[in-house]
Amino acid sequence: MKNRPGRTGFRFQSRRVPLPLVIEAEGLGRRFGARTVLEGVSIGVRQGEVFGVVGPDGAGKTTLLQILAGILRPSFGACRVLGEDVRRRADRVQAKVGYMSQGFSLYDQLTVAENISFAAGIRDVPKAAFAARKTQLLNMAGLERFEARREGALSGGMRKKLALCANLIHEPPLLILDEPSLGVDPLSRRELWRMLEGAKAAGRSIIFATSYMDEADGSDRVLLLRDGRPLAIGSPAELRTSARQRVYRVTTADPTALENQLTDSAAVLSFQKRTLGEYRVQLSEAAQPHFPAAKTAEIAEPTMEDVFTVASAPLGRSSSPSAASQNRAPSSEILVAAQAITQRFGDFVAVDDVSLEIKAGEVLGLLGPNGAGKTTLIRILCGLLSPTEGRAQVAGFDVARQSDQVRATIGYVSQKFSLFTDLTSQENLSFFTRAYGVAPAEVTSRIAWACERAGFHLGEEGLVRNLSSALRQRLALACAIVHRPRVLFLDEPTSGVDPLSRFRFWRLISTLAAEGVAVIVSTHYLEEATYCDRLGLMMDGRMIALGSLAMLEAELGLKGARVEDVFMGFIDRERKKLTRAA
Amino acid sequence: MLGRIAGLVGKEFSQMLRDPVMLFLIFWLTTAEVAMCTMAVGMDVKNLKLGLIDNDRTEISRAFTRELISADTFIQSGAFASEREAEAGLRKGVLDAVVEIPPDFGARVAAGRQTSVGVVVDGSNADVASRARAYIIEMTSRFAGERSMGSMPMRAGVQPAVRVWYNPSLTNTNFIALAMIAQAGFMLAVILPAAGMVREKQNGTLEQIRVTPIRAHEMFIGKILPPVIISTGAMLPSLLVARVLNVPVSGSVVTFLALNLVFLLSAVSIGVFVATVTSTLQQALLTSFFGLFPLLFLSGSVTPIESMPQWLQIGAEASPLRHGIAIVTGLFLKGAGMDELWPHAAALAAIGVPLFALSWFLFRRQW
Repeated sequence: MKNRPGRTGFRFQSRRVPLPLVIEAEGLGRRFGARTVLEGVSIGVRQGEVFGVVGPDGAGKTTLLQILAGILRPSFGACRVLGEDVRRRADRVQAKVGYMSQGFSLYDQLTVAENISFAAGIRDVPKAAFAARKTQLLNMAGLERFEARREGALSGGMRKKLALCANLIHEPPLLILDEPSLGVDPLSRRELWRMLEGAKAAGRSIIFATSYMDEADGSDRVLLLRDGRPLAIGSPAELRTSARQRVYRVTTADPTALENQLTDSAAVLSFQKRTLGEYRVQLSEAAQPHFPAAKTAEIAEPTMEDVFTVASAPLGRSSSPSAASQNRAPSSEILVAAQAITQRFGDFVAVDDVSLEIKAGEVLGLLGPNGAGKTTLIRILCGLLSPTEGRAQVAGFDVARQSDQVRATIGYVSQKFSLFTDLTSQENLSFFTRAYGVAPAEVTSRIAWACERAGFHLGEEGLVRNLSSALRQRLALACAIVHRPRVLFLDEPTSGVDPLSRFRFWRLISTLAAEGVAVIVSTHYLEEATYCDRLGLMMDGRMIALGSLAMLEAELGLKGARVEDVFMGFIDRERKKLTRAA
Repeated sequence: MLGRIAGLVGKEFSQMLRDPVMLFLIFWLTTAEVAMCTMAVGMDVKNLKLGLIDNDRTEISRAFTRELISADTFIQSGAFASEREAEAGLRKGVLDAVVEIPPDFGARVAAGRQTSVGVVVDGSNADVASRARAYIIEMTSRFAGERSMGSMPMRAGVQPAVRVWYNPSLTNTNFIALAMIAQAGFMLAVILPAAGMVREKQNGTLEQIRVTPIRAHEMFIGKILPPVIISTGAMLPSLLVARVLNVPVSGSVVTFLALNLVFLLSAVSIGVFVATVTSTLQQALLTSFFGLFPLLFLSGSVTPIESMPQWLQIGAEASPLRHGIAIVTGLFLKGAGMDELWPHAAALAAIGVPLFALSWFLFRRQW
């Protein structure tokens, strides 16, 4: 074994007796056809460690975990898992590890008990040990009462916990978990992590992937991945230390002036508006920044998101759009108007009596938990769904009856990426340009304009399926604006995109709004709310609050509050109202 | 509107040409499979293995044997001394039929007296058996006729004079090849629009298209035109394969293309119908296949329509494939034109137009 010392980057993590390595990977990578999705990953995971692989969608997390589980052959590099070579002894690796794939991987037609028995049966769990282990696992997962229920009838969180039980029944020394908390409600997420802590206490090693940066804090060490390449590796504390002095908390009395200075500064990687007068700024190098409009500027403790932004800076292209026209003032022209819209699906009320108005040049952010009705509302305003009750007009046309005219004036980027992945970027752009009836003579100039506005470089040829998630997002935006729409609908456009790309995407949206486009955008990243002129908070289909952040703060009697506090404040108020009514 | 449809059609072709698996499958279905089916499924009975028990061993019995194996229906595979020996061959399957010639065969034939030969046929494949039986009976009576000619005066009776037209060699290859070409075109025209539409539904691109000014009818045309063009185009290599297999491909190409359009109308309608009732590619493909099977059975290419029960014959008339095959064989085997084929064309229109209207209605409702 060419086990040279200092090969792995964690030697400084001194333990008195170094525990054996369960994963040793050197220069690991994978290619699919001509496309390299993962390269240069060198990690070492010790027994009993919780190791997080953190990155946005398309970073190569799943590929890495599949290689470690022995179900995908690496194209480059060497890797041993639990002492077995993943290339030559893939069968042994597969038999030893517990691998939980993304999504739901159990049999929805079988009951909870049957799924567990099946998992135990195929893993040769001894009969004598099975009963005790099953009881213990199901108790820990809080599933003991549901043994007879079909897996498909459980909630998403319960299904994930059951999948974890099925992977723990053969007591594997190493657990490989691909985005275990994806689509899981916060409570189940906490229980899932408690189960994992139990597994860790029992001496098992855990490697998991996540796109939630904050989940990384729960692990012993973290690998940050972006576009298939490792950005950084280390314990959360070490990573934060590396980003220290590059993250600042800046307060101001003149937000507009400060924003312009931040945008113009070459040293600023990205910034987020935390409250009305408070910004968080990430810098490309550790140096005391100077912003004339700032009242105070102090070093802030970096979060994992900050670490990711700072670490991915050298890779990112600095293609921020012209910042000249960022000062926008919504005009008085109302482009979207909805009156008492209600949408029912059977007994279920997806949108409940929602009214709103949006002016040209205004950005309205729709916030709310999953299932609050944001997507349904957007689909109604786009003319994709006819509302059960109420009316809506876009640019003066009725969305239900004049949907042809409506469609010619709007652009729509759906939650799920929905361009043709088997065509090139150029072909997608041409298709949508023609679909919107742009005159043939104008097609080329229109595509060039749309790409410039969307920050997309058309030089990048090849099929769309090979683009990174951030590039796809910009291409989708370009395709949605080739016809110069007056209203732009964006349904969770930034989910699964890394923080720096998200920041740049929002700058593009601001530029479009400054040109007079009305923008409606839904998001579940609460901090993104600060980029919007007005916010609509939705819950159970109802619009529980609508107005600018300052207005909403005032309504709750708060001052200097974060978006989270405002959001939670309104949800609490709504819940209290409901309980009083009941 | 034309620009938008052109954009949709162009996009479909780019996607199709980008998909090597799909291209290979189309090519495979219309060439290799047509050739294989033609050669394998041919219903001709050839090279059957005949066992002989010649108890006579005269010049006449040998002449009779030569007569039996003169055409390529039978080849002689062994002579046996007794029926029991020959039986073993039948059981093992090394023989398909056994002919036993009685000891006084030559003498009786020479004297113009009645005689008989024993024939045992392996009946496990009824089709082969009935043909073998009919062939032996025919050859025997022909032999008897020729031999008695000189010594006996012609008896009064009706002698059939059968001539076979359009397919003088009475081989099945011609029919099977042409039926297979029609089937391949039909399958493509069902599966391509079904798969193409469901894929857009699944990927969410349909929704993206719905927010553009593209109207339902433009999308509908944009989705069915490429499959029609591809299915028609795919028939050309098929016809080339048919040529190679010595199938007479004569007849007007213009008539063929015109009638082909009517024929494929039903196919694309079924494809769209499948796409509107399914939501994943897998469901769409399975539904298409299960829908295609009965149409295939009722088309007359597997079993002759004349031998189906009455009520199924009526059903067969409703299968577009049945008329499509009738048109293709009529056109290429008989050199028929519109004058003869219009009933089939009318039947296709009668089936296709309501199907088309139904699929449009369902598509419009889902839009």
